[in-house]
Amino acid sequence: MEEASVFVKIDEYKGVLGIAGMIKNKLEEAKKTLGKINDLKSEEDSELESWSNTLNDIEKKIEFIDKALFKPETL
Amino acid sequence: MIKKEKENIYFVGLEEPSRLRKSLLESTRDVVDILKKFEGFKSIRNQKTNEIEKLKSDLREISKLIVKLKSELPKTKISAKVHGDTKLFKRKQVAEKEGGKEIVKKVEMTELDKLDAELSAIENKLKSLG
Repeated sequence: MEEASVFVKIDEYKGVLGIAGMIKNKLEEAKKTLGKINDLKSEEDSELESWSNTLNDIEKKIEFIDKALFKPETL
Repeated sequence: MIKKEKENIYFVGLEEPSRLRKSLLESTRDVVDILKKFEGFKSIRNQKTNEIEKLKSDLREISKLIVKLKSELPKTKISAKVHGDTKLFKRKQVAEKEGGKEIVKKVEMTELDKLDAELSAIENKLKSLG
C-alpha cells in the first residue's frame, strides 16, 4: 500500500528546519564532548599504566631490600 | 657486668649497603612521585566528570528537540498504534490491602525506569509502523 504524502505549511516548515538545524548543532557539540571524554580517558589510562610500572619497580626494590636484610653476611 | 653485656651485642653484616640505601631512597621517591601524580589524576577525573555531565545535558536537549520537532510536524490519522498493555509511566501501584481497603502508593520512577518505559514505547511504535 502506498503511503499518502504529508504537506507542511511553509511557516511551520521553516520552524521544522530550524529545529532540525539545532539538533544537528547539538549533535556536533555532543560529538566534540565525547571526543574530549575519550582524550581524558586515554590520559587516565596512561597515568594508571605509569603507576602500575612504578609500583612494579618499587616491588622489585623492596624485594631486593628484603633479601638483603634477611641474608646477612655473617651471624 | 658491663663486660658481660658488651659480649652479648651482635652485629649483622649487610651486603651491598650502598645499593640497599639507594633502593630505599628510590622506593620512597617513587611513592612520593605517585602521590604527586595522583593530584594530577584527580584533576583529569574532575574534568572528565564535567564533560560527562555536559554530554548528558546535550543528550537531554537533543531528546527535547526531537520531541519538539515531532510536535511541529502535522498530526496525521495514520499515527502509530500504541499497544494498550504498554503504559509509559506507572505512577500508582496498589501495594497492599489493609482491612479491605486498598492502599494506593505512589511509586517514584527512577531515571532508568523512565528511560526503559520510553524505549519500550518507541519500540512498540516502530513495530506498528512495520
